[in-house]
Amino acid sequence: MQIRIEQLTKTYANQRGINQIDLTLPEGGLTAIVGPSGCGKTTLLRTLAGLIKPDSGAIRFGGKDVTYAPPQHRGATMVFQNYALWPHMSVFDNIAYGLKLRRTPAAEIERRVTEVLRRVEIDPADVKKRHPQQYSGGQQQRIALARALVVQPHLLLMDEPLSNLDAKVRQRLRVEIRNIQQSFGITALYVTHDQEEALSMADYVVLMNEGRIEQAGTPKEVYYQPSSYFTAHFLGDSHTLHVRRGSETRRLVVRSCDMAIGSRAEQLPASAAGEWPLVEAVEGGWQLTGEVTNHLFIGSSYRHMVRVGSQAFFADADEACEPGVYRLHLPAERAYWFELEESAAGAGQRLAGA
Amino acid sequence: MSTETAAVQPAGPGVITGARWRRLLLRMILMAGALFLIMGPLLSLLIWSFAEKWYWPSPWPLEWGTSYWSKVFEGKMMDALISSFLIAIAVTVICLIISIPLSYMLARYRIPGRTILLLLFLLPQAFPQLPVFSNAMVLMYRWDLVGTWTGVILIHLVGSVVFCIWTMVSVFQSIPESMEEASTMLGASKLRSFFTITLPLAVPGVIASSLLVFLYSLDEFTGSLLIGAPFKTTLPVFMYNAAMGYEMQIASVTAILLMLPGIILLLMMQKFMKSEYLSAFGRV
Amino acid sequence: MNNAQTARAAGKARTAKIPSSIWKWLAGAGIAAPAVSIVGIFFVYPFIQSLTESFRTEDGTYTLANYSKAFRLYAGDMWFTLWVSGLSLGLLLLLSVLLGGLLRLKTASLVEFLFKIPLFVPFVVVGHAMRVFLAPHGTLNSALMPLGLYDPDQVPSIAFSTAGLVLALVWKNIGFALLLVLGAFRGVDNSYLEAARNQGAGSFRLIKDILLPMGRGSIGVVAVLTFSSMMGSFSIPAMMGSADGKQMLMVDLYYQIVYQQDYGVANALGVISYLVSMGAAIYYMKKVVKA
Repeated sequence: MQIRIEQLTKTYANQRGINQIDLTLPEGGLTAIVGPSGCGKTTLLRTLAGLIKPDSGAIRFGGKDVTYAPPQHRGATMVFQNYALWPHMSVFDNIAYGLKLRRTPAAEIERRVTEVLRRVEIDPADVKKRHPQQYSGGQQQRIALARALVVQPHLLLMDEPLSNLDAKVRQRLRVEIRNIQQSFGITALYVTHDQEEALSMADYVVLMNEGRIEQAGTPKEVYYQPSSYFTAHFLGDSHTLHVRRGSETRRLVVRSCDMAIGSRAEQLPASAAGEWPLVEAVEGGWQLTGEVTNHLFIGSSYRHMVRVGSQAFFADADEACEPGVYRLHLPAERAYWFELEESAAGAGQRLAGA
Repeated sequence: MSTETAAVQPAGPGVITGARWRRLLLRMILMAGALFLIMGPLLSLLIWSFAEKWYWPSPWPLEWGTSYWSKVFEGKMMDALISSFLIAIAVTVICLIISIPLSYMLARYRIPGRTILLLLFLLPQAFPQLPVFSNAMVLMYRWDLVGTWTGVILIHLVGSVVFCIWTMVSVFQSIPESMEEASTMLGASKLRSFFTITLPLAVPGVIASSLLVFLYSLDEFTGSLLIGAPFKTTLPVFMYNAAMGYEMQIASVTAILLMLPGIILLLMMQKFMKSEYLSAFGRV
Repeated sequence: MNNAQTARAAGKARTAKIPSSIWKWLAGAGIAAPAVSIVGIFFVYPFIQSLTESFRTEDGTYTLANYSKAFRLYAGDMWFTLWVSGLSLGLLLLLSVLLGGLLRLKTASLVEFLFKIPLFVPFVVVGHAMRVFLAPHGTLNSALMPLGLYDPDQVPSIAFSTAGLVLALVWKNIGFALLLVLGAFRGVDNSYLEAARNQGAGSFRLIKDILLPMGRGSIGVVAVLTFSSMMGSFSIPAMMGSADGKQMLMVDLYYQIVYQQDYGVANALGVISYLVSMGAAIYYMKKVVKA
């Protein structure tokens, strides 16, 4: 079922609301909403769930307006951040709860719970006796998914479901959640503050900032074609440099893995010092000169701390480079250029004029 | 939330449907019912206290006046009022003095029999008081304490030490030991650390527990009736006698006087009183 | 005294004349003495006294005579006491769970404040206020009079009946019960409720399926504490009286002491009331703490 959100607005005093959101969730796909805390992603999710009533705008589930419909009448179920599996009920009762509320016959409940448990790979043998606390974090996650899926919703909502788990389990569960979502073929919305999670799991990534959508597209689109400074800076291990390009001043967003450390230079040229170092156009990209001050071993490679003038950023390389002055290369398609923001622009102009 | 069952059809936030009106009406009726049930008995007291004459079946007093209120400041009622307050103050002070050091000890040190001690202080609130106090009365007869203020204060202390010790133990436990350790490391003695660091930090708890004890003592009835009456009359006993003698106005005036400190406390302390302190107080 | 200190003190003790651990022990005992002796002398001792005296006649022989007399005279009142306390407890729990649940789901600070008031109204005042409110010629009937619901010469009386007694006991305890129940309900994380609402549960379902079972422990505490307090209450039943001659156990006990001066029977009644209190506590321990 296609889920459409039109001009959805909800204002709060503390500005955690959402502002005129327009979004269509692709049918059967997983859409990830990602953004810094307070960007409105949770508000959007809870509005879709029916837990929050919007001020204006509309939510349509396959053409049906459900904007003000109560949670149970819209067919959206949710997996909570802490799973919210009721500790006083057995796993079976947890999953069967929604079906019982819908007055499903006992035999049918039995059948559907067993079926959903099989599909999320939880052993259905002793679920009537065991309580959620007796399962591991990953299993609880799948039980929560089963509870949300057993009522056959139109939309599955997930509110940072992996944030309470340690890194290893998280990696594995990303794949598991993705597999379950695809095997059910359900339209899903996944909220996270972890960009890596969003990029790796989703069919479609929505970047939110200050209650608005910054950019939406496939993971590759938003990652390699950031349309705004915010997107470029938010995704990847990114650093912002204030630089001169020819006679203009610009903001350049660089990701650690894209900047290659080239040959050694004798000394730092005057143009690379100061507040606005110079970036030169070279064959196939850009070059700037910086000083490698030290490096960290990060397992797969070495991360170098590079100083250019008063600014600093990281550049990764397979081999460790000794401290010293180096020429650094950036491929043209990996350089993300943006205008200066208002306040810095003034300073840049003055400097460029001087 | 308020449209859980109401808005099956979509309805905008500003639209008030028939179901919403019904819901609002239901809410109003519930509120009115709650107000009537809680305030009804209390307002009755207020009306009676200003009723000079009131004969059945008039729905309102036939004559209003304050003559019964002026009796507060004369004779037996004034005596009962003053002695009740003095007893409550005495009980509070004694209670604090004997229970603060003990609570501190119970909170900080693993002394032998700690659990038994804590349970011991719970006993007076765990069992019915009347049968125990009637035996305490026999004991107090032997020591000539019946009908004396000392006897009344002692019997109030038995019931109120519980509140003081249980609240103060939890207050002291909530103050990190590192606060005192920091002070002792700088060279302060244990006693000095207690008075300059721990006690000031515990002041909110001390205030809360002294108010609880004060109110307990002011409202205590069973012990006062057995040990004090008829020679020493506290306010609750005075009220009981007046009510049983069908002096409705006197009893109502006294009842309001008894209620006031508690209500004032509730109004003032809503923010400061933590619910764990309050819950300790339910058991008079 | 923490272990390290005691050990150090013990080490020093070999050289000092009087071991300092003994001083510390004495200081501790001195601090504990006043409070312990007050509770010990005026509660624990009388408590034991009531146990032993209940088995003794006036001439000092040990028999069960007091108990047989107590049962002969008051068997009906014992059942009445249990019935009134049980009924009041049932009503109280129902009311506080419903009210606590609603207040947990939607804030209504005025209602919450209102129901806290009884916590601060002394038992005797509740007794008197209920008498004034519910008596045949009381304010409730006076207020309802103009509505013409009944004949002024044949007014119903709630005050001196079981209903009046139950109402007064529930009224007095609602503040305490609501405070604990609401505290427990507020401790239930919002996500558990939202998960249930997300599955389609309404307010009543949220209370019944989520809040009630998750707040079970605190509700058990409320049940045991208020049951004991209701059963052992004296001032309210003494003031409310009873029309059909049945009385609460504590009123009978007071009567035996003050008018009959039969301490044996009074103590037997007392011991029975202890047993019921303890029974409730043990029931609670088994049912709630274990679960």
